Formats: sequence, C-alpha cells, structure tokens
Amino acid sequence: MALVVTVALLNGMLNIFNKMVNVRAKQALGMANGNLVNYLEGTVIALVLAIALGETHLLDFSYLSGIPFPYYLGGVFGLLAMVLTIRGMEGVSVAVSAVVILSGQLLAGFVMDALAGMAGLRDLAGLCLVGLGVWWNNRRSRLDAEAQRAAEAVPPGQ
Amino acid sequence: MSHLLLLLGGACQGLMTSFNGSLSGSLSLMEVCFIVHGIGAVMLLGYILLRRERIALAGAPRYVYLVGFMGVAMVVSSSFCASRIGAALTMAISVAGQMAASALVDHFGWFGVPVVRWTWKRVPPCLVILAGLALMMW
Repeated sequence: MALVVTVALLNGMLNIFNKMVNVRAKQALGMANGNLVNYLEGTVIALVLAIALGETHLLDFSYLSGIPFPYYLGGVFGLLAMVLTIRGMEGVSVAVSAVVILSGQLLAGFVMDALAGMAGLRDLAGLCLVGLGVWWNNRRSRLDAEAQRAAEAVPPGQ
Repeated sequence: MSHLLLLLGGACQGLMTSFNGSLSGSLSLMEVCFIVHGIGAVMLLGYILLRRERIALAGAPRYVYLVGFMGVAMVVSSSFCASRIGAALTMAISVAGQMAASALVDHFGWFGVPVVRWTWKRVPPCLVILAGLALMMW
C-alpha cells in the first residue's frame, strides 16, 4: 500500500510539471505539433522498453482483439484531456486550474469505480472532503496572492 | 469557458485512468503505455493531415523534449495504481501530489507563473484533504 500511495503522489506532482511543459510546447510548436511531440516520444519510448522487457502481447493480434474494446479508449480520453487542459489553462493560475481539473478527475473516477462496484458512499464522502480541501486551498492561495501584491505595492518605509 | 474546458479535461483524465487501469489487467504497463500513446499519435497525425498543417517538431526549448518521458511515467504510474486501488482513490491521492507541486510552482514562480508564496494558513485545507484520503483508504 505504501508503494501505491507513493507512486500516486509522484503521479500527481508529475501531472502538474507535465502540464506546464506541455503549455510551453504548445507556445513554441503550436497545439497539434506540441502534443504530437509528447505522443510520438511516448510511443517510441514505451515500445523500446516493452521490447527490452521481453513483453510480446503487442505482436499477438488474436490476444489484442480479445480484450474488450472500451479498454482501448484510454488513449482517446488522454488526448482529449491534454487538449482541453492546455486550452483551459491559458490565463488561469496554476492553483485555480488544479482545483477545476481535480473536480473533473474525482467525479469521473468515482463514477467509473461505482459502476464497477469498487466505490461506495464512504468513498464519495472522502472525495467530497478532498474537493472541499482543494477549494479551500485555492481560496487561501488567492487571498495570499492578493495580500502579497498589496504588501509589495506599498513603497518601502511606509 | 476556461473553467468548463478544465472540468471536462479533468473528467477525461479520470476516464483515461479508469480505462487504462482496466487495460493493465490484460497487458503489461509498458504495453498499455504504447497503446495509449500510439492511439493518441495516430489521431493527432490524422488531425494534422486533415487540416493540411505542417509537421514541425523542432525549435522548442530543450526541456520540452522531456515531455515524452513524463507522459510515459504518468500513464505507467496511474495504470499501476488504478489497477490496484481503483481510479477514484488513485485520483484522490494524486490530488495531494498535485497540490504540493502547484504550491512549489507558485512559491518559486517556475515556468514564468506569478509568485504566490506559501503560508501556514494553507495547512488546514491540506488537513481536510488528508482527512478525505483517510476516509477512502481505511
């Protein structure tokens, strides 16, 4: 459990850094080319690592066709997520964007888990607390930013 | 409008995590990663060709080209966690990581964002987040 929690925490941190770099990629290369760099690199890196680790399912088309089709939709939703978040983050602070994105993530994650019988009312209550904490953190961040700007606007010695 | 895009983007990310977690029950993490990125690459190439745009991948700052490695790490880590503890708890724990990273980015002004220094008044909301996670995990 400790390993899973640690990996999930690191996933979250990487999520933010990845978004910032993707915004920069979009500014330098345009939306489509910026995203294409990400996906082409990821495809090649994953293929090389899969071969190096001796994983052979990718060559077995009968095996691949036996996997339920909806399971392959992760790639489609991943691309949509990237395009939507990059577009939406322009002109929005990191803290605000994080709150809104997280709300969408938590809601979708809960619905999918509930449909699979893996989540119940206690999980929903926990998610509501997490959402409340995120909203409160964002509000606090905004108030801190306003206070800091006000303090910096006062000339020295006054 | 930006907020709606971000909300939908987040929902798509949650759906991606859930579907990738299911796929990792049949394939290895690297195979899942290849499939996810491969499908995205094909869709993007199709989009670029349909719009008759030019494929131009050079000219960005060097650190931008680390994005592929980050993408692989994200898909692998989220699939690993979602297959074991579900998408909802994976996303919730990831929240704590995202809050920490957001605070660092804002505090130090990385990536050119305006500096917002962290204060101790941010501790109570963090405790609420941890309480929510505890409720889900135990």
